[in-house]
Amino acid sequence: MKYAPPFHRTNGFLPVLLALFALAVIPLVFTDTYIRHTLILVFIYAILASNWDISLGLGGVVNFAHMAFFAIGLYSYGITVKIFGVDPWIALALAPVLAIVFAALLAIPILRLEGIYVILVTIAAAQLLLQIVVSQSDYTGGTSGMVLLPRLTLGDYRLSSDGRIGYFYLALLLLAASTIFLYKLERSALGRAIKALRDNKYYAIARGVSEGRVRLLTLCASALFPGLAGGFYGAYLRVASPDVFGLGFLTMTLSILLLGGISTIWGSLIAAFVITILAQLLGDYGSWRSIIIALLIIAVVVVYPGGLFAALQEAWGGANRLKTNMLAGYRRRAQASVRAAAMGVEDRLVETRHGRVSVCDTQTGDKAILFIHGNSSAKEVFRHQFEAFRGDYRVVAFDLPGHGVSPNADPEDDYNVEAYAEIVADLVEHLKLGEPVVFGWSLGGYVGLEYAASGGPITALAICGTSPVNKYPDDMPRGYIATPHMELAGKRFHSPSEKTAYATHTIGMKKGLEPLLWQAVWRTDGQAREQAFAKLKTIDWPRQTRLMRDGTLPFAMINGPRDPFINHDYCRSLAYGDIWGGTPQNVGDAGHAPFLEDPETFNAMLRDFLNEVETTRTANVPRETTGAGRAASDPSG
Amino acid sequence: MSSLLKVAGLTKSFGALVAVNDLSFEVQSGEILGIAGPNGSGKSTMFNLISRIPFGADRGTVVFDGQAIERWSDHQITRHGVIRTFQREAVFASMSCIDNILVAIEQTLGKRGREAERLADEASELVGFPRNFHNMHAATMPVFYQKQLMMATAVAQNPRILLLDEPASSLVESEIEWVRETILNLNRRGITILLIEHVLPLLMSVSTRLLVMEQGRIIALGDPAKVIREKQVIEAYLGEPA
Amino acid sequence: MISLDTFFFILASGILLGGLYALMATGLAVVWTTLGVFNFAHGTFVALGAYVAWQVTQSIGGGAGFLLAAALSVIVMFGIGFVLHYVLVKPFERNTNLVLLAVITTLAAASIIENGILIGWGPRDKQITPPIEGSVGFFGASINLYDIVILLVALLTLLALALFLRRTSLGRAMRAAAQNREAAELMGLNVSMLFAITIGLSAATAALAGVFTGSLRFISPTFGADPLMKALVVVILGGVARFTSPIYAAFIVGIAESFSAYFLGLYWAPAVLFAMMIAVLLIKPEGLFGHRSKTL
Repeated sequence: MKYAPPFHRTNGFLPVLLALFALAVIPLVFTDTYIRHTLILVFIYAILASNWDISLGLGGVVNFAHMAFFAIGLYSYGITVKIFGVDPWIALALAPVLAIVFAALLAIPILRLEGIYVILVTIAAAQLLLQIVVSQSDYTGGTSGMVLLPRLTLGDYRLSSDGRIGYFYLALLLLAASTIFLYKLERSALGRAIKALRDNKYYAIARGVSEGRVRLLTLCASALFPGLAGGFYGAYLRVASPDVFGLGFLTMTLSILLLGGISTIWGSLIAAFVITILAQLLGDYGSWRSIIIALLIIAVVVVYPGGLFAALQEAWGGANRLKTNMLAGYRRRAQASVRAAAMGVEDRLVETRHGRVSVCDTQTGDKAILFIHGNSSAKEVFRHQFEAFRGDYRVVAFDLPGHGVSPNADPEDDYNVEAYAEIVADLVEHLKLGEPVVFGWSLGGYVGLEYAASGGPITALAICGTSPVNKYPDDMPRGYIATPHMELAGKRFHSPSEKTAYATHTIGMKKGLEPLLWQAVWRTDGQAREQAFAKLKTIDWPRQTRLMRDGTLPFAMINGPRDPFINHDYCRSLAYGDIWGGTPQNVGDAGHAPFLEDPETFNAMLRDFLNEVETTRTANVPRETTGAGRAASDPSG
Repeated sequence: MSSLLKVAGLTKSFGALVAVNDLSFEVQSGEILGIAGPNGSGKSTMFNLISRIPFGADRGTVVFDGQAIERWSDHQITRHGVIRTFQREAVFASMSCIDNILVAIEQTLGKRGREAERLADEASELVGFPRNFHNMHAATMPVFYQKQLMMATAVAQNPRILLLDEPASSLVESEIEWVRETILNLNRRGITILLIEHVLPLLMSVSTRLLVMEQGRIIALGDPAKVIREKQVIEAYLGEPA
Repeated sequence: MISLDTFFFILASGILLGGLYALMATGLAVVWTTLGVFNFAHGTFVALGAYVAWQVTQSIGGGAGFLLAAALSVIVMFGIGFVLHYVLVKPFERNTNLVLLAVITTLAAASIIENGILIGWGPRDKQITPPIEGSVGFFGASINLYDIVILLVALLTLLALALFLRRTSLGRAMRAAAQNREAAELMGLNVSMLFAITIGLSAATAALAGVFTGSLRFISPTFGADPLMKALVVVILGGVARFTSPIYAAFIVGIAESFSAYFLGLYWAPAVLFAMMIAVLLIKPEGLFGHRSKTL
């Protein structure tokens, strides 16, 4: 089972679409030829750098003859149009073919070499090619190069007319095609084989990867678009000069790749813009320009080896945290009445050792019941329980940090099950809840278990949609069904369609019906998801299962039989000292959130449990004698 | 039963050290041939020579199902169903677990897309590697699951003969039980198995025959219960904690 | 066919080239074997060394000026090399991508030095006046006395470097750091400084090569590119197994270049060298004079 959403369902889709649109519109807005020319150079650098990543990043083959692919495309265009008089379009199509032929030849000496030797032999190969080009001045124009190469035309229309607009769109088209090619390649069988060979050569061969074939294809694939770009460059500038073999050109392209970040397509694209535009802006400073760029490269490599893309992702993460926090702050004030209407009581912020959390508290009643919601949800998920139980109990629910209308908190310290359990303890103390009944749903189930196991004051514990774990991570695949949606639980950034999938599967309801909860998924701090998931491994799980086995605490499991996540057979198979009803209970026909999907059945069941706890406590008789409570619905669930 | 793999005169030297010395034996179709011997006795080197990863033999022949393995290049050997694992848990660290399996299926069987994914699910099921872990990064998995993943990957390649190099190393008792069950289960499905193992109880309980090596040579080969009592074998293991 | 004196003339100029290449390549090889880094700024070290020397000879003429120029150039370049280690290599010496990161930082350094030269000294060609004139006969060919001096000084410098690395405690510490960094650190050696000294020495020998080359031909800001490529070919061809490996290779390259320039023309000579290098890499990747233990 592979979770790999198509590109239009990922978070990258919208920015890419916007960027493409912006680029397509820019020449219509700015008719200045210079801007178009700069952008064309950006596109060419972006193609060169991002395709270099096929060999260098994906393949781990440090090919320093990469610029030779471009040079071959350029000279092949020049020679075929000028010497052989071939049609420019056909010459453009031939350019990548010759680049690929050279790449295939280059693969032969590289095959037996590794590391620095690959760098050296590829430099030598590029220099050899340069020497051949320079020496064959009858065809190549020698050191002075070829000039006045024929340009591209569509019918009678020259692509250079109207301020080079034809060339602009052709270059943009090449960049778009190249990017699609890279994206598909990385996710293809060949892309996997290339990465496998890089990661672990002998293991890859034992898995059937042909080292010779894959390395050959790696180089050929990385030559395709640079060759094409070289041909385009010849048709655009109408000049082919041996400068393209120079160290300066190579350094520029390599810095774009490394600045952008290795093994990301988008990094080199962004860096191509930054560096090329910077170079153009510094154009008046001559040699200082090269020095400034070189210093910048050293600074970035030394200070930020991950590259611009990593920095950008970090910035995006920061912006996302800021956004979710502001959203929470805004809704805390603006939607207070909507929430109060749903819950029957207004919420307020309560200080805990892990920051302030938003709490709904009915205040009245001597016995308290505390509800803990799950991952990417909010306290409003329990609104039916507030309505049903507020007459007899003091009902309390709160938004976990980074959830609902609670502010965001520190990802390292505050976003994990143990911290959440400490928040529960703080609330019990500050709100003077005495020994409450605790109900935890999903991730909140673990919070409840952790709170009880850590010795917090508690009368009874009920969990829902949670598979208890004794050994991590071994019990996770036993306790949960393998579904693609499980992948989303610990994922930091959800795309809109992933948020929708998550919301519909956890809440099990349509958007219009539960706007508050729908919003909660959007509001959740991605770091909270990521951290809570990543830190599951630090929990003292056996302590939790020991608690259930001991049977000293009244304990119930109330699940939805159609829960898409938990494995009911596993839950039933566990050893419980004294579980209410003798086994996990099922609610009607509900899914992951039975208290929301089928509140009547659920509430009745919970009330039975509470009553039994009450009777037991007051009568102080052994609980074994009180029977199985409410008959479970379909036990096969 | 017929001979599936025939090794004759296999020899490999590293400088003055003869790691594998004139090794000859046959593997019957459907058997589990256990391979024991002290560290450095040439067991893993023998696997290397048969799979030609990372090197082939100086002398000698390996015939698999009537065809000389020497005629195939290293990766082609896998396409004929000769599949090996490695002593240390090995994974493609930058890839997800499912991609680890997919790469093997795609490159060995030539299957693609949904078909490949289905085969990967089947292989995981067969060796008990949880599908929940399919999308996790292979490098982040605990050792046991990396071992399971390697086994699932090998099984996904549709092996006719499986060369397992210490699948139980660095595992605890309950996990070794998984190794035993998986080996027996795969063998029931008609896969011939060569098993190098230092965990003797495991080796003794699954092997149909036992081959003991010392200093690159075979010192005993036959019924495990008898072989283990041979004087030479006991001597070879003296001072060598089993 | 060529006459015997022409043959010896070509041979002699090849040997001279070999001496210069040996000086350039040994520095490159020492850094490579010690730090595991290929220094792409090495060619610009040669160029900068030549410019520094040229500057000094402008104020002080004659033989004394030349000697002072050479000495200052070597000292200044040692200092620059020493400092550059802390900027270009040290920040990520434990990064798994060290080889690639060092490639990019040394390329950037090369760009800075080259453009710095352009800013400081302008684009016009310059030449250092050779301090010695006169020539001697060599099998009928006339050889400049200065060329012979250059060759001798180059060889003596390499000998001194070899003795330094083998016989002095500092040299031995540098070799220890190259072989096993962790062990050297445990022994209390300041490995970073040893590495910096290594790059400094490499830059100093490059400077000397620059001074000599600058007194034989014109120098320009881009003058470092050719020495870099030649040093690269030499190092690949000879391998780095022993200190002397690149030195032998340097003479082979020098002589091969000399002859191919004569027979095939100036443009083809580099092509022959690169083809030679690729051929050697294909057949014997460890270099002509190297051994490489095959690891599993």
